[in-house]
Amino acid sequence: MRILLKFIIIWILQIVVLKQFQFWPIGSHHYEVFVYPLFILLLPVGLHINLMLIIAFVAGLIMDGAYNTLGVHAASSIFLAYCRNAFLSWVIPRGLDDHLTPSLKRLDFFPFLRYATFGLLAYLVFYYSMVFFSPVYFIDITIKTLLSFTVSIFFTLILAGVLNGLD
Amino acid sequence: MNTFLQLLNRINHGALFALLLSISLFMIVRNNEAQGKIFWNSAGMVFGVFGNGANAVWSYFNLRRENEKLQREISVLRGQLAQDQYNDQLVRDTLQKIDSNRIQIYEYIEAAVTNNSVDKPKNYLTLNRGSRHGVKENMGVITAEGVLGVVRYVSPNYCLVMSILHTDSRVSAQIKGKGFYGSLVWRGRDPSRMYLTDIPKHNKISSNEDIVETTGFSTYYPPGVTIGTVFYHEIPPGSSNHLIQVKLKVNMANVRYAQIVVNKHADEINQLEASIKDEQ
Repeated sequence: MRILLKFIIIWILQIVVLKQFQFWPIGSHHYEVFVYPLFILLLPVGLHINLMLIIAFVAGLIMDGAYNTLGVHAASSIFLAYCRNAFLSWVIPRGLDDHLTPSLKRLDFFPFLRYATFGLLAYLVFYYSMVFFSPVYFIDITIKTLLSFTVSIFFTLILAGVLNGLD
Repeated sequence: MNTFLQLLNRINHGALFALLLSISLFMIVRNNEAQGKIFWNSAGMVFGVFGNGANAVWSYFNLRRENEKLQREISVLRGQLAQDQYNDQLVRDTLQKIDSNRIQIYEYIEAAVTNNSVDKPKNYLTLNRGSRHGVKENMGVITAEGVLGVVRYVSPNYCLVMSILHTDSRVSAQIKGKGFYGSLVWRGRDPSRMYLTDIPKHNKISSNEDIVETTGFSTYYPPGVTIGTVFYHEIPPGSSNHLIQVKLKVNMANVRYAQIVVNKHADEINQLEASIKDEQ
């Protein structure tokens, strides 16, 4: 199905290409590039929330397997899946069918940008909170989030445009 | 498909979120070292409160036994103080017969106070050790904080101790570090004050905080047991001695545990000193 295909594409891209970015730190700060949250953002609009949670959890686990951080991506994915509907309700045009994905084509560019921004930020904040695991590291979490975000959103938008064709 | 959707609808999505989040957190904490350390550190602080509370409650039930153990330990440790042992080095080098340097002079029997008084002119304490435990007449009784008295009467399980708060009581006492010694007596009424007599007026008593301790000149008490501090001193007009008021360190009113001093050399010393008694 299309969902699976999307997942495989995103997965391959994330692991093969984007994992390399950890070797090019800005200054002394390491950051990471994630386009993988796009997968969760592009799930069909009307998908039942429980199913979305389970799918996101499994997908997150697979990401964890690739990055060798067990549980971190899984936690972030379910967090994003839980919040996604709220973000979506702000940008969705009226009358979108439930089985369709909120892709770049269906939403205009700027609504999609807002949607993707909120989604990616939510994902990254939760992700780095899990990595540092203590609110003591508040500053580090913020810095890493912002750095990762600026690079990731760039790649995410490109990928969203590419995946437009799949729709 | 329908049943699948129905199943999905029945699950509360908030609960599912919580469940999946817990699973993820569990995996994170378990498999990643840094997160695990942070988690167990915080968890330890929370659980530590309960652990401490439970420990406090249980240890309260054990207090009496702990106390008895500690008293026994005090007796044993006291006996090991160097001053309670007799350095036999010289004899050993000469005779080459005795196989240890130190011979025990003082041993201690721990006892609990079962009866006490401080308000009469002649006060006695009752201790719960008697002849069955090796207690004999004329053994001294002390605590960590001071001198209590001398054993006067012994029964199989109990002994009667003449308290230092007794008009006939005399304790050979000295001022620590100075070497002046005299007799410590009780003039009645105040259970925390005694008088150190027989210190000639030419001996200087410098501060008001000098410590008074036993001399060891009698066979009752080991030397160096703190009795109290100098509370007040003056030279009364017309007298050749100091009038020294000593504040007792031990609170005679609520003494609970004591050590009975067994002086193993007591008989030997008394016999020796008795041989010149007719001359005295």
